[in-house]
Amino acid sequence: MLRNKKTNLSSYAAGRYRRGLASIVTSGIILSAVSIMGVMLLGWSQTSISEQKQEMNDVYNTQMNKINEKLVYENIWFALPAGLMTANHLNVTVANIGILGLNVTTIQITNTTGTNNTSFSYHYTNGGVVTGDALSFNATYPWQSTDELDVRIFTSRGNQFFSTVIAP
Amino acid sequence: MTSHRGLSAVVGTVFLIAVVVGALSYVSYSLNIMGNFSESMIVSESREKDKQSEALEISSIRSTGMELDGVIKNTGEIPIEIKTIWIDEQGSNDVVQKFTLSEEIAPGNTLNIADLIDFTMDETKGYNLKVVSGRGEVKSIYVNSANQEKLDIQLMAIPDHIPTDFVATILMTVVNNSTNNNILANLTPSALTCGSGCTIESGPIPTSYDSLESGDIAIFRWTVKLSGNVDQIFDFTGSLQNGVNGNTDSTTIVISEVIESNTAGEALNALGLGFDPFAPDVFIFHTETNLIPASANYQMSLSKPDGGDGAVLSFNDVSDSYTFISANSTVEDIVIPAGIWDASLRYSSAPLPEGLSSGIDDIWTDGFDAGHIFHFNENISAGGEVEDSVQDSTCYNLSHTDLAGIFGASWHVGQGVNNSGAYYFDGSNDYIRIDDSGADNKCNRPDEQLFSITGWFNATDPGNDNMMYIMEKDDSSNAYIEIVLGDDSASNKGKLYFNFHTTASGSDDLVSCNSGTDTYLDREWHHFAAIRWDTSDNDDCGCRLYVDGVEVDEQEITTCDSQRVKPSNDLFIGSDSGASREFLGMIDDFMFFVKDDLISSDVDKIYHASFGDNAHKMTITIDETDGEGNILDNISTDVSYPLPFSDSFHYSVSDENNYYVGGNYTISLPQTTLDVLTNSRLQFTMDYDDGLELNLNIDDEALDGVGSNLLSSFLQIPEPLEDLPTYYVYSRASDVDFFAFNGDVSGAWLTYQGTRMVFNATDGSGAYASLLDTVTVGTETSDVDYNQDSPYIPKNTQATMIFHRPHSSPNESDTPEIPTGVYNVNVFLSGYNNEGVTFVRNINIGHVLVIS
Repeated sequence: MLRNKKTNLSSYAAGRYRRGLASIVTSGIILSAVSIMGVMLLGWSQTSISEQKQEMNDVYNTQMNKINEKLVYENIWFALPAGLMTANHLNVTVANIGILGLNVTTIQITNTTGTNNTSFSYHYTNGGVVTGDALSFNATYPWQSTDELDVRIFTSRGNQFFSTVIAP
Repeated sequence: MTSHRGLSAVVGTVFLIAVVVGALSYVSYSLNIMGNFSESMIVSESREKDKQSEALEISSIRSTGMELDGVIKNTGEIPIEIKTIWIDEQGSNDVVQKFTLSEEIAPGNTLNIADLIDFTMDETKGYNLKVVSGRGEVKSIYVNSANQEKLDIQLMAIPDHIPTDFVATILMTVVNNSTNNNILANLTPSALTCGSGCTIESGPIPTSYDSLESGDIAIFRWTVKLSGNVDQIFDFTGSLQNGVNGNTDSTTIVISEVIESNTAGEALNALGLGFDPFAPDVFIFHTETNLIPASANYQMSLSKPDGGDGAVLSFNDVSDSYTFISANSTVEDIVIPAGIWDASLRYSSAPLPEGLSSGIDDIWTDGFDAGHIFHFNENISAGGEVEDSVQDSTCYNLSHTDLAGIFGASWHVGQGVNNSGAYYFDGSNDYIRIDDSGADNKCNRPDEQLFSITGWFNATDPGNDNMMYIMEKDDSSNAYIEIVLGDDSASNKGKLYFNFHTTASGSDDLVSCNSGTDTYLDREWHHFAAIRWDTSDNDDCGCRLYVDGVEVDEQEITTCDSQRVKPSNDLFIGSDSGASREFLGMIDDFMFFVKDDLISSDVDKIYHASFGDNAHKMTITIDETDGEGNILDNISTDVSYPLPFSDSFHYSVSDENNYYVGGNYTISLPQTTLDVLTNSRLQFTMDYDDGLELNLNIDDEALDGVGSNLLSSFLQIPEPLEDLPTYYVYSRASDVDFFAFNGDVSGAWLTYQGTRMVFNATDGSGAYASLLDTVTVGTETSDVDYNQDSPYIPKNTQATMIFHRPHSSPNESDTPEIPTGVYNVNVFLSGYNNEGVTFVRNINIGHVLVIS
């Protein structure tokens, strides 16, 4: 009986040891898993926030630059064919009075006289103008005397600047 | 299970922290972005506000000799940078000019367009002027020519009916009714059409308008004289040069009969009361102050100098200002044609600048004992005696030997300092010798403990290393004073030395100052000041040397013991020493200060003083005023006009011809008119600005321009088309002389009845009248009374009329009755001409001062 008791005691003790080990192992596994998941989650969240920050920064800068882009029409005068310009044309001089350099990409001239609503667009690849500087473009347009023309300038940031002139 | 719950709590907390940190980081960044955005918006708004505060105005557009001119004014609250000016020619497609600038204008300040750009306008064209600022402000203004569009032109004749040989006024008004509020530039009338029998006596007045603002009116005036038959019509057409074709207006004048008798005799003009003019175009500056407004100081009138010795007006401070004013015009407009105005000013210049140390100016106030000045402003022939010449501002008229004078040195006009005269020494036995004998040496022998010598030299390299004497004085005892360039050594060639050597009472001291490393053989003018100083106990003494106003050396010795430097030979400017040590170059403005040691400020003042051109700087103003002296028009103003040095102190004051040589103020002016409606006067004002003291002599009878070479200070103007007014003074102890000139085409007689001279007291105290006594024409004199008319006065002839003394009850009594004082005098002339037309003519003489 005593032996049995011992045996029983021994069995009982062994069962208790297995349960304690399992608990430790389980805890370790769970802890590891949780740690790994936590690290992954933190990493994912930081990456996601950084990406959103960058995107927000890009959007902010783009919009601010667009807002700060300012152009003024210094003079628009009408010229007859001369030199390399073989047709009537306009000379458009604009000054960059903003705080950023800008790039003129297109000048669009629309005739708003009566029913004549012809529109011409001229694209430029060398329309960069630094702040405080001015830029002159020659734009061929078959203007007639007393024509009322809308002149619209587009910049690479998507802004438009508008003026109206009447041909002499 | 307990440990699992704990673990779960830990894990949950970690998650929570991670989520919270992430969320806070995101929110923080977002807020940061918002902050940046707000800041950007504020900056942007600030810039927009700046732009809104920016304002500029373009005004006073005009063409100066067809050069575009005008004024850009910053009317905003912040500085403006003008970046670009565009000029588009109106109606022409390809004529555009762009001027790129970078000109700042402070708020309230202005810029002249002509100072920014050089653009010549075509008088036949219009322009669009556009100014662009750095912030994008664009301001445009249109400048039209008369040919751009039709203008409102109206021609008027006043009166439109006149008798033959009478004058009328044609007025042409031009209204700038251009569209777009355009300014009109260079508005010039075309010549007025004026056919046979019509003479344009004057006009157009003005000849043109530089510019005319929108809505403004330009008025041009002509005076025409018409000769024709009754009912003859004279047509006049007015237009503008370069005006639109057909943009004209016309008017007519009709010759009519003389309906009213008082319109004849218009050409009988007053030559004034009995006075003696010097010339019809010369205003002499007088000392009299009667009949002038309070704003002026003295009269200027046509009468000859009558102020005895005259008066001397000192100009020595910026508060010194004197104004001379003419009498007022009372008879008719007086047209002074365009031409040269010349003020010939009799003055003497102070020989030294103001503010020198006490006693320094003894050199000229007491030159006999104290010093000597040589300006070399006039030539004397070789061998001439320098003490007796105008070279010598002081110590004149002293005895001398024949050895004194100019030897070899040649005088050159305008080659000296400030374009004055100077002597050239050719490096070979050229010198100026100043006698030491008798009293002369007191002027220039520096034998006191203190002395100073100053002057200007312009030295040329002699081509050797020898010293060159600028000045020397020595004697056989080896006492000497010398100012030399170099010391015979190559290493010191061109250095300036001031040496003196004393030998009296056993002392044997050499004192020497030099310019150190600076040399002066550069053919440029340099000023030196060589000074022998002394302590009050005379124990110590020494030298100081200044070049071009700066002290370059000072030396001291302690063995002076009151020893004077007393070399007894003649003094030489240059040298007669031979040995190739004579001066090569020019010398000017030598001054000896016998008893004085100049201090630094004295040297500086003498160095900066001009004894040639620019000795005095004055602001000279010519104005037209009304009868009360209120300025109507500034005819001209010259600020800091330079007047030359007038070296007169060789002469005594009694020798006015040389004492007050003076200088001239000359200016070319356009036509000016003194308006009778405003009783206009001419006013001449001199204000001291800078330079030596100027002593202006006025109203000096000795300078009458006849017995003397010079005429007392005066202003000569282009001879006016009409007689200038003058100040009249009448002595009640005599009859009244009155001179009249018949400029009519007809001869005339004067009658007793209706011919009177009336004195009306300006203070309202009473009125008096004179009866006509006699009339003299040529050599024929005739009493005039109710039984007898005057002699015949042919056309273009002068008549002298004598009126009895004025009385309150007019009679022929010789007893003076009229009180002294100021009266407004009118002459009434009654008569008839040789065509049988009667006339009554009223001539206002103006104000007359009645004296006892």
